Amino acid sequence: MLDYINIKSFKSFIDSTISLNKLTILTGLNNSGKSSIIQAIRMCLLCKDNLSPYILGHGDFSELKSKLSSLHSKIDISLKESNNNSSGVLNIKLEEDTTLCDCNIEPISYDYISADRHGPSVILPTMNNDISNITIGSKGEYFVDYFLKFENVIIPELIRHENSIGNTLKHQVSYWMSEISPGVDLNFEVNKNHDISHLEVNTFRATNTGFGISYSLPIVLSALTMSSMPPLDEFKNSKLKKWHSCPNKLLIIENPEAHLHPKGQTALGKLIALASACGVQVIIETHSDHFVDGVRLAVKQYNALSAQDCSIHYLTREKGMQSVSEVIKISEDGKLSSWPIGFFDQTSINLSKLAKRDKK
Amino acid sequence: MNATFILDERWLINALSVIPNSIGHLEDIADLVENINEKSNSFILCCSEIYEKECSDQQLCDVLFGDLARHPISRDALLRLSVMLNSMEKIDITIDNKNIESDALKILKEYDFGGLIFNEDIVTDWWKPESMMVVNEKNNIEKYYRLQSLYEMISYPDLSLHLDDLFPLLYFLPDAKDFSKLGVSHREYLKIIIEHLSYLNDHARNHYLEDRDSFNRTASSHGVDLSGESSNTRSNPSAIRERIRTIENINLGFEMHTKITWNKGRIHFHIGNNLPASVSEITEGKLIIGIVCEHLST
Repeated sequence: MLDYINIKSFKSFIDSTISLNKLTILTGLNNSGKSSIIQAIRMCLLCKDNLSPYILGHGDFSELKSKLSSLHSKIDISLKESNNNSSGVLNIKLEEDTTLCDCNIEPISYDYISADRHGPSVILPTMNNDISNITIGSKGEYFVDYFLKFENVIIPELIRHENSIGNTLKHQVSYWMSEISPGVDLNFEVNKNHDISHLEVNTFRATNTGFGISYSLPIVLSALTMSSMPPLDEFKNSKLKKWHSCPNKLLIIENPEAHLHPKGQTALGKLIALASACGVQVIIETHSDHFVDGVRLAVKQYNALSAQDCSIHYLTREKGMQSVSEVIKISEDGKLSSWPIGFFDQTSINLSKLAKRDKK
Repeated sequence: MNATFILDERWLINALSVIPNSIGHLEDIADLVENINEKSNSFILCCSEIYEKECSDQQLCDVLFGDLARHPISRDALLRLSVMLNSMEKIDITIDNKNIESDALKILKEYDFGGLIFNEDIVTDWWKPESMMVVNEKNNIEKYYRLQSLYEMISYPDLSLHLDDLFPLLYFLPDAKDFSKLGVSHREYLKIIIEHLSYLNDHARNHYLEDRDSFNRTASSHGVDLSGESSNTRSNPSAIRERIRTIENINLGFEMHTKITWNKGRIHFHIGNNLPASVSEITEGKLIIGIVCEHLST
């Protein structure tokens, strides 16, 4: 498991260490540094895979180096892991023309799902051989192909939906998606000859349904799949088997709540919390108190989910200063250790204004 | 039928004055309000000045939305109450009577009926027990619905629409909801019908399971004339068939019944426990009202 990330001279961070838990929730105002933490983790993981750390569309060294740090400082990011009795570090040091990567951490099967996901589409791509890692796609674009590759994996009892029948991904995805759209009937199909796939929702093409289903399906699928056990007849494909059997799994998700009704947001919070209890390390960026409430309810409801394994980082940043993180712990009864100013207090602020007779 | 409830601001103020020791009391208020909101046609009123009421040398809104709203112990309870208060209908007070102890009581006096959400009994000369009731726990909600039904002399069709609100622990078969079939005068017997159904909802199963032999006597001590079938009826196959109803292909005998009058008005029921799972899934394990009629063959 990744224990912490240290970030030096990167965007809004001069030198900060952020602890990582089995479930880490990053929250805070816009432009407070949440996405930068995720970007820093992704850059390390790209280097680990012998790829360029610079992510398309995010700029180069001169753009990413912190304007708050000294002129000649390097971008220096370290991920520290601990597994049983061993520990390792994945460190990258970036300068204008050089990239140094020092990696002695265990293999990790990871996936990243961005805030900007594919909406309803008639045609979706498939994972081809030119894609080095198994992934659902940063925009969730491979979710149909991903589902068909993993549909027979066995979902652990802890994360199976209440009152559900059937223990495979194929069954469980329907139950969990019913939390978002009651009674939804999903049909996944791949056309191998043309490397395309598509989804039917209640027998209609996906474009005739709302955004909620196509935005949440990649999250539900990846959380269930990464938590799962191999199918009874084992994987036929060695690449799938290697990725799925890796003991270290990391799932990073931005804004899982996008396009979802509060009930669906809470259900996703619960699902993600249970995925972390099944052994998947999860890092989430969210603006949703409903999602956080889902996590809190799961901590209260399930003994298998320890409160100590979940943390919330509330990020703030004053003008011209570096990002600061306050850690908020969840207790066994689902209560939070603190409610700082700006942390999901808008409902109370709004109600306070509505309660007063004064119109201002 | 509309069921009107009025939140007495004193309960809230008293609880908020000793927060965080009173989190349990605040949760009780919130649970009660939530239970009322789950009922059909329920309305909760409070005074329009509730947020300005004095509470621990501050205004109530300063307590509700101030520092305690960020306190780890009190935040969730206060937010829950804030959301509930926001959705209540605010009533301006028109009676300027300093002898009436709360704005909620002033509203109640003006309306002349209502369920007062409060945790103390009310002693006042204008109180009308036939239309007013203190509601301080969940069980009182359905009791207030019954009171309101009698106060309004609810029609039989309306009663059948509100059965779940008045008698949440009874399951009515679809053709056992029409009380005009009892063949008794609505004006004279609505009270007795509601009393009988209330006994079946509140006590019948417990009394039956505690002592079957004295079940009839126990019911009688609660003012309900109740019996099983006579040996003559039991030996008459066609009469027994009349008392059978089917749920999920399972035949159930509805022999036990209450008697609205000595010769008319029978509410036949089954105690509803120890039934096959397929039946219990439908009846939710409740006591079952199977037949409502004038009188079956004997």
